Amino acid sequence: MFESQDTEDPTCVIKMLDEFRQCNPTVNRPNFIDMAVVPTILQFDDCVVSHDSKKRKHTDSNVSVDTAEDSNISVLASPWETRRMKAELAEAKALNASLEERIKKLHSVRMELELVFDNEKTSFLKQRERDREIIRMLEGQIATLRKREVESRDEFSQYRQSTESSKCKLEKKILRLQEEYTHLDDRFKQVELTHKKCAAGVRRISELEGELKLSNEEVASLKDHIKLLEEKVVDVSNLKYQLELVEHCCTQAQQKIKELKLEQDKGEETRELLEKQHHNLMRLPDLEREVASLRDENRNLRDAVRNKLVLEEEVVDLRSRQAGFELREQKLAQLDASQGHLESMLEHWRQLARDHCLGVPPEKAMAGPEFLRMRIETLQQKELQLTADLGDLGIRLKTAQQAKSKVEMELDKATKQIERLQVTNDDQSKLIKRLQKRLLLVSRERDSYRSQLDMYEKELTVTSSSALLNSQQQQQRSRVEALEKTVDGYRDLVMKLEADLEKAVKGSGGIQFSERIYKLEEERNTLQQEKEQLMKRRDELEVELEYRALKGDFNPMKSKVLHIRMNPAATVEAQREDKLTHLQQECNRLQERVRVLEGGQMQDVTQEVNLRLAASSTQEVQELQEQVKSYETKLQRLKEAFKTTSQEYREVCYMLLGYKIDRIKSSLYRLSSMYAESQDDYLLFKLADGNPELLETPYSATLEQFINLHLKHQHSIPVFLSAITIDLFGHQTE
Amino acid sequence: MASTKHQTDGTITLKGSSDLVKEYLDYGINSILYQRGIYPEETFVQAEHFGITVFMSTDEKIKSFLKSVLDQIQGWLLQKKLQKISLVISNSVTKEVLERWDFKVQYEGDANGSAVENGRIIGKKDLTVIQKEIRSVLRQISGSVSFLPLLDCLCAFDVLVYTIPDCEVPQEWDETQPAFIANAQELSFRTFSTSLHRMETHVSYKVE
Repeated sequence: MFESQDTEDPTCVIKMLDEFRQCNPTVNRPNFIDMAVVPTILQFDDCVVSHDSKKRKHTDSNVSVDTAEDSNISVLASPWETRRMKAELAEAKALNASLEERIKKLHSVRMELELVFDNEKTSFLKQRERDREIIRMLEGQIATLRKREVESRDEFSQYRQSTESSKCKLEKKILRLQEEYTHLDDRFKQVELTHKKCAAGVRRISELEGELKLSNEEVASLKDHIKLLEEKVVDVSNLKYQLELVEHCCTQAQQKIKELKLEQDKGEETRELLEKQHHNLMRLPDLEREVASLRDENRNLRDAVRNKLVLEEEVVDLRSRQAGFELREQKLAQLDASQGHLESMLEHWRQLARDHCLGVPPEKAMAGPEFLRMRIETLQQKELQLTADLGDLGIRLKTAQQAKSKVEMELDKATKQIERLQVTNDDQSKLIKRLQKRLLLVSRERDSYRSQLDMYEKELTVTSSSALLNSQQQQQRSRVEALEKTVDGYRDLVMKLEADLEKAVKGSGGIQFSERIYKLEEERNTLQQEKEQLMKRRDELEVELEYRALKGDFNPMKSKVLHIRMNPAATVEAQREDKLTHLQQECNRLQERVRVLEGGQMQDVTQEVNLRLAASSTQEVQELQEQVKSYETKLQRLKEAFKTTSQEYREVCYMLLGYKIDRIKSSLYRLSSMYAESQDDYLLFKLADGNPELLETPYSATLEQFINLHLKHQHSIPVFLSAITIDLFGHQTE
Repeated sequence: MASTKHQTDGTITLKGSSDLVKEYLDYGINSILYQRGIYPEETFVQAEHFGITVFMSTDEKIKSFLKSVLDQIQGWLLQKKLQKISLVISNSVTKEVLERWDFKVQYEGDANGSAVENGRIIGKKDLTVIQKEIRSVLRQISGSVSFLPLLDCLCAFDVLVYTIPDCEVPQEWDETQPAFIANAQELSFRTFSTSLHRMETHVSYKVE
């Protein structure tokens, strides 16, 4: 019932909702693609384009929601639309009323149905109760049946087991019986076979019995014969025995014979031996003699051996000497050869000497080496002189060469100058030519002027009207003068130009200028090349810069990169570092824990770990410990140094002043003199208010005299102490 | 917002233009963060801007960070001190830069179609056209996820701002080095112009 209601009623509502949504699609958009669909965009555009400024109050984010309202408002403007809307509204209201009626009806129907349902429900409930009871009963029955079933199953299984066991036994029996049967069968077959054999055998037995009888008769006859034979056999055996006895005797006798023969042989051997011995004895004196002679011989031989050894040694010695001699011989040969060589050399030398001493008488020349040496010396001296001369000459040559180079340079300079001069000369000659041309021009001009002048003069002479002539003449004269002046001016100009030319030649400044210009041009060229290179480089760099800018780099001259300090990347990094340190700490702790656990401790592990970490992990503690150690060692060293220096100081004081000063307590000093007679002789001083005071001791009691004099009277402790020292020294040296 | 600064049809003020640029950057950066999976998807909500749906982060830290950055950027835009904005995506463990989104700004106020009215610079470009252009760029950005390499590691992002050299460094800001991607591939998106500002959008990413 409800379902039917649901299907009818809500569909209308859903339809309405759908319609509403279709009117306003922006309310519910399922996905991204739908959102990007054109209508929304158009709407957005519309609202931007057509709406007047008051609609711009809506922000972009709620534009989509507001569009529906906006459209409504815009719709209201047209009356047709309003009418249509009203009609729709009325329709909707009518629909609404009818639907409400329907809903009421349906409500009543529902109520009735509910009542029916209730009745049915109660009846169903009762039935359910009954069914439940039945089910319970049935369940009880089922339980009992199950129990029975279980029991019967148990029994069944027992029976089955027993039957199986009996079956097994019976099977075994069957097997056994089958075996027996086979066995018996075999036997039966055998028996049958034997039975067949038996029949044949009976026949044979009867035959054999016949034979047996015959043979028995034969046996009897044979027995008689045997008896006879046996008697004979006894005789023969007796004979045999006798024969054996005889044979035994015979063998014994033969053995004896053999022994005797052996003895005889032995006897013969001994006799031979005796004979030999006898012969030997006969030879003994000869042998003794022989021995003596042999001994002599032996002795001789020993001597000979000794001699031989001596001789061998000698031989060895001689051989070595021979070797030496041979060597010497070789050397000798070599020496001979060298001597020959040397002699030939000497001859050569002599020849040389002779050759060199041609001017000297031959006796002197033969007197030889000294003379030769002298000659050589003279030659060497000559050579020295010559080398010196050579050096001089070389130096002179060098100087000459230098001079020559100088001269050449000068020559070069001169030639250059000449060239320069020629150039200038050329220039000047050109200039001169130009000037000459000019001069020529000027002179022609002058000539023309002159001719003019002449013409004027002629005219003057022709027209000899005096007054006119005079005036004309005067005019012309003035003209001539003027022209002459101009000519003079030209001359001056020429002169000036010539002077300039000369000046230019003398200064030769043009060359300097040209050189300078050349240099400057070169410089300019190099600079231009450099500039081109730099331009190229600049272009390259610009290209690179652009490329790098594309790749994300930037020109630090043109821009600066900024970012917020706590940007997400940085925070993530910081978090990560925190985590890392945390984990490292954790790791350390766990490592320590593992160590503790490995050490076998099971209780208070965490506490132990914490303690250990606190003790060990902090680096600061270790550092401080190290520092403390270093300070301690420093202190130790200082102490040692102090000890040694203080010891030295004390010893020096003792030796210089004669008193050992010990500090017994604070501000209490004990002085014991170097020359004290016993160790108990000491003085005590107490430092009170910066002044030492003498305290009474057993020893000080003996020094009343000094105390009175030096302390009480003179008030000087050093003097007192010195006096005591002198006194004690005096006592000791006495 | 931009529309409030919009005085008459077809004109736009410098402030309005910078607002538009700022909004574009906001939506662009948010949608990049969403599309590239820098932060989990559930921290983003849908919102509609310029006629298309943009995923905006709800993470308070990101929101406040972007707000402070974008406000500063707007300030610099108005002073014409800004040159470029880079959204740098880097591996948070190795700090290797994996992607860089460049938003280049060009000031074109004086040249085409702008005029000075009552002492204020005003551009002559229709707002709808500008929004259409921005929309197409944003679409391109969200479409770029299909060919950009997968970022399969934990990543973090940073926003670098390229300014002129004599720009003062505000508090909380620092000078830094530019992010440089070795072996990078660059891709340019559409540009849009408000007739006062011209925005070029590029992405450089590390080639695998």
